[in-house]
Amino acid sequence: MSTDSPQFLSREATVAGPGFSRWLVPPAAIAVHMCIGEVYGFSVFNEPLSRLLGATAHDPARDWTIPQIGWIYSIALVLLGLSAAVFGKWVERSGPRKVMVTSATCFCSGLVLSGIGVQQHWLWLVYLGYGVIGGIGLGLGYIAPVSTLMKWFPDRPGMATGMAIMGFGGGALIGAPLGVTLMAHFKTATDPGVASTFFAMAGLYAVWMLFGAWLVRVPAADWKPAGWQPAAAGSKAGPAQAVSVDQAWKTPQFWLLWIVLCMNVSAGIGVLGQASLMCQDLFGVSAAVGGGFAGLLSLFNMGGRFLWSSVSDLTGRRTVYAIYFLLGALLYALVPWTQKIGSRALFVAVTAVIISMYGGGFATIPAYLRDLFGTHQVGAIHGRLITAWSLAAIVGPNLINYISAAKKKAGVPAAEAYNSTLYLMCGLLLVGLIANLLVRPVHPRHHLATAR
Amino acid sequence: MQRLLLIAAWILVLAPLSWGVARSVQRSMPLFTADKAAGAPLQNGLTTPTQPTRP
Repeated sequence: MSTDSPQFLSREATVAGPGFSRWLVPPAAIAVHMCIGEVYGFSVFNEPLSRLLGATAHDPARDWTIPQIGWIYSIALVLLGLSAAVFGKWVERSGPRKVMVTSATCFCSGLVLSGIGVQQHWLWLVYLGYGVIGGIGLGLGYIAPVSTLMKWFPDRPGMATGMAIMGFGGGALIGAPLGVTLMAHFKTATDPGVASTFFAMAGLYAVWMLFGAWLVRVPAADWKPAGWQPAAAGSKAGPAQAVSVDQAWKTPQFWLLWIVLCMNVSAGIGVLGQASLMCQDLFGVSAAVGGGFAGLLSLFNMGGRFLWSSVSDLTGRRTVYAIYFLLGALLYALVPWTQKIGSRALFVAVTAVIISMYGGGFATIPAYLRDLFGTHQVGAIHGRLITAWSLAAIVGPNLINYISAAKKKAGVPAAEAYNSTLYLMCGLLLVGLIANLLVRPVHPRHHLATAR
Repeated sequence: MQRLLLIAAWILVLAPLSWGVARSVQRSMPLFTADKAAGAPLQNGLTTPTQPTRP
């Protein structure tokens, strides 16, 4: 076997030569993130997957049920968090190119296996393919470019990671319509076209992800942006002294940020997960208008990732999270009032800002970690923090669904059934605010003796 | 050469993102037009969310 391949994938092979433009790295990161972001468009496959044997209608005796299909997505999300946490150190050691190629291999082969599972009607293979193997690809791809971007943009770390994580949000906007378009192309009288769509998506996504892997570079050890002077390590404006991943999660700062992310995600899901239905119940609009509202929120979710994380470079991370939580809680409290005065425009404006800050919370967290723990193993630390997202993404929507369903069942009018949920969201955000305000610089005893 | 690569790389990522954004804008249009444009009858509590949970 030739030794060329491992060399090409090694960290050493990705060190940029003199004159390399750092603006080539964000598209490499976005290429990977916008592909793996497809996972949030997975719901477009739910209904077609439930009538694979019935062809035109669900056959309850033989077809998969929606709850069974829902597990595909849940397994993928859990594996995303677990793989990011478990493989974080390997990611830092191996460099971004090897990790991106591994991510592409897992994600795309997961799609292929799922396609075979759909063809053979083996649900276990879809769980294994899309859920387990694809989920590992998601976790690796999510954290692969994080520390690399922050090393290339020490002057604007929030903006740099914001671009990649905006790509993840954008991936959802691409994945859903792409899936629908491909299924429409491949479907026949007896086949909804899901398997062929999975195969086609695997091919398309492989091209983009491998392009990202080919393009990505890490900066030389002594590289810094032209004209930029690093602030003293540990100073307010600069990154912290390096803290290893194993040491980081023994610090209170790590767990405070874990709470910050968990509360931010749980609260945002309160609106996102029920956006369409909430708009219909509160304002008596049609399903199409409700769907339009959900579509608009997706745009603000994506835009907020770039906008707010860029703002954090100017305000500092602690300040921007204080804005997310304080303004978010205030706006959540205003939502029932917008319904009371019957202002749909105000409702849309308020929820759009809430969702932009929810996206911003995701995108700003890597830079917050860099401020506290340095860039040494920030990707691996970020990987462990993502477990907060996995938990919130599973628990959050169930909590919201349970409360609003219980209220409706108790006879509370649909328009008022959301009020207690919204006030609960305010409470979660205030918990996040307290955790954020408690964050202090990491004690020097946690610092590595020799910062890399 | 590097400038060409820079332009190509950004086009390769911005083109699909723009397509996704355009589709999403298109999808959100009923929100800004009159309800009658949607044509779908209102069934409070019986509709299903059309957007997945999207962290």
